Amino acid sequence: MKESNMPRADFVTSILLIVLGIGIIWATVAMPRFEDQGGSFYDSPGIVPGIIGVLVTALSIYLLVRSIRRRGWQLGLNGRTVGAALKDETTIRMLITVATGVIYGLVLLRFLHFIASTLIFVFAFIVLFEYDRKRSIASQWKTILFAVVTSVLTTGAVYGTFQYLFLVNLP
Amino acid sequence: MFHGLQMFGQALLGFLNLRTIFDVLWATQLGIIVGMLPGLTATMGIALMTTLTFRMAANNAIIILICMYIGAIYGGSRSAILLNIPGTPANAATCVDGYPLAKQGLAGRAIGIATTGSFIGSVIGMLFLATLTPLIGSIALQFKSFEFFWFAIFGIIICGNLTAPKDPAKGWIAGFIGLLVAMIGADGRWAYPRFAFGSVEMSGGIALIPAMVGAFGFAEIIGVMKFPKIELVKSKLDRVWPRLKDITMYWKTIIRSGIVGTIIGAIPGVGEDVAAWVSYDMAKRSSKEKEKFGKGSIEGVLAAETGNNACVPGAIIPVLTLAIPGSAPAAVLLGAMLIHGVRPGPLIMLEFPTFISEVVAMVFLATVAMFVLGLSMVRTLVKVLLVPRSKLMPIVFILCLVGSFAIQQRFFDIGVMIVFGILGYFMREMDYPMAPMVLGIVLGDILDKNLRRALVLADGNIVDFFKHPISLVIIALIVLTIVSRMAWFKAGWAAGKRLILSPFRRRKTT
Repeated sequence: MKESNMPRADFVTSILLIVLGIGIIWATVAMPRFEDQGGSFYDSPGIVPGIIGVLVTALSIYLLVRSIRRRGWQLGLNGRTVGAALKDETTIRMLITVATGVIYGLVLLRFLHFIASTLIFVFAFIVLFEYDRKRSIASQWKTILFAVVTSVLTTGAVYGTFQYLFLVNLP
Repeated sequence: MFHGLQMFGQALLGFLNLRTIFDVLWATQLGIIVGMLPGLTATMGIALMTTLTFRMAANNAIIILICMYIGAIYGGSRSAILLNIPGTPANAATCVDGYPLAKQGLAGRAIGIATTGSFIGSVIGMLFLATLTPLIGSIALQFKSFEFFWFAIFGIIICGNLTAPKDPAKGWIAGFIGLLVAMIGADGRWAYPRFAFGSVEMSGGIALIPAMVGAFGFAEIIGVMKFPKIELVKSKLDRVWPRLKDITMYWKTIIRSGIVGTIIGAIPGVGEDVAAWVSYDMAKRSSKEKEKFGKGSIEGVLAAETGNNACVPGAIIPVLTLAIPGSAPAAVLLGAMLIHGVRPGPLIMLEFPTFISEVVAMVFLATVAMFVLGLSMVRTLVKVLLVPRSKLMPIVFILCLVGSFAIQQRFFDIGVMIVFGILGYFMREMDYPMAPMVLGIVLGDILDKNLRRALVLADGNIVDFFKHPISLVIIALIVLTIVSRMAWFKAGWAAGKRLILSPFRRRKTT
């Protein structure tokens, strides 16, 4: 991230952290103290996370004040800036990486066998990053073929190694 | 002294069998490859290897992990020199002079220097590991709840301070968030499920390995895939073996970097990247060839690589004596030791009397293997860097996923890995360092138990926290660490220094 954008990022993150800190303090206050079971107040489950919550909140307030001083509250969010950020190549590549990882780890593996979901993931990942939309599919048959071969070999190697060599029951 | 040497000799002899030597060689080579590849860090390599070795006997598994650690921290220098991209964060300082050397057609020489520096650094660190660990262990035996509490706080504060030099507040926040993550799940005293929100899996807590694989693996994959292609520098790999003159000429830099690297390694959570930068900076300040730094200085490469590899044994010192990791990879190593039934900490000398000398012998074997492998097969291994990231990273992600799943075989850990990966990526983007967060996850349990125990012992009297001599030393260090970042302290320090030094300066000029 550019240094010039940091006060704005700090402004947003410090607010989120203050909310988190206050949420932690509130949750720890609501925790049981077990004093009726002979426990000490100082030994209650909420005491340590409560103290840490206070520290996080205090440091986040410091960050917030500092970001306000540096005009971080001027977020400059409008249709044009958001659109430009979403069209930026690095943002698109980052979002594709996150999306493929999340879909594979949290969706495909839940509903499909490891072999099927891994084949789909590796193939999709390679094609998404190497496929050139400006060229025809026919001219990119090597990319598609390479993606198929890599996905089959990777899936076979990982499945064989973990399932039979390390005796891990894969999902 | 002689007893220690005898124990080291016995441990070394115990490892000199075909099976162990084979394990040492493949694990170190794999470590070098992991370190070489941008996107694969030492932490991730050790975390993945932990999942693959957890069915092995403790010593067999731990030697493999140490080889992976030493190999990866060294291996990162290859991509730093040839791609101008550090293979691991520890090699960032190597880029500054390594890449200019490669552009001048001296890539082979730079790799040779990096290998020798890493070797000597590891040896210096190993000597400190062998001599200081029993000493610190005996001091650690005097630690009570108050001292452990203050030491945990000290770890977070100094780690935040050194890993976020521009903005220590972010380092401290990252550390406290790590502590909060460690609070998730049933508490040790009443088994009350904190922040579990009714989830049975959350009640079990957040396991260290999936969290670290996410924070250092998936986050790194996102960071690497974000950018389009990287170019390998076109440079001859003529002579890799270093010239003796290059080493003897900079002996002071080597020894200084080795000592500095080890000391930084022993500081909780700080790690190899800081060790390399501090060693590099000190070498630059005291060099007779300051003008060469940044343009291809052999001394610069030597300082950075000696510093980061000396940090590895240094980071193992607090793991063994206090059960507090000196770096992020050491945190995984600590987790692996616990998985294998070894309980590091103040009682290690009593419970596992031979373990320290065994670890020293493991470090020694890994260091020798790294040196031998580092100077051989250079041209062949460099080809690994040509593998496109779009083909390599899905494989790495599958390993991250399977590695997170393998230990407890639950889907929840895959979710933890992915969440920490995304969180880790955004934290890095916002300049929040990851090392304090990881340290926080490790220290959370120590802090929770000891703070509550200390509060009960003192019956809530805060004054008792300031009564013990060791506590007072740690508190002084914490205060000094915090105030050293404040403008008024820096100004006062500079003014004081000027005042004290002014008579000498005047005399010198007259």
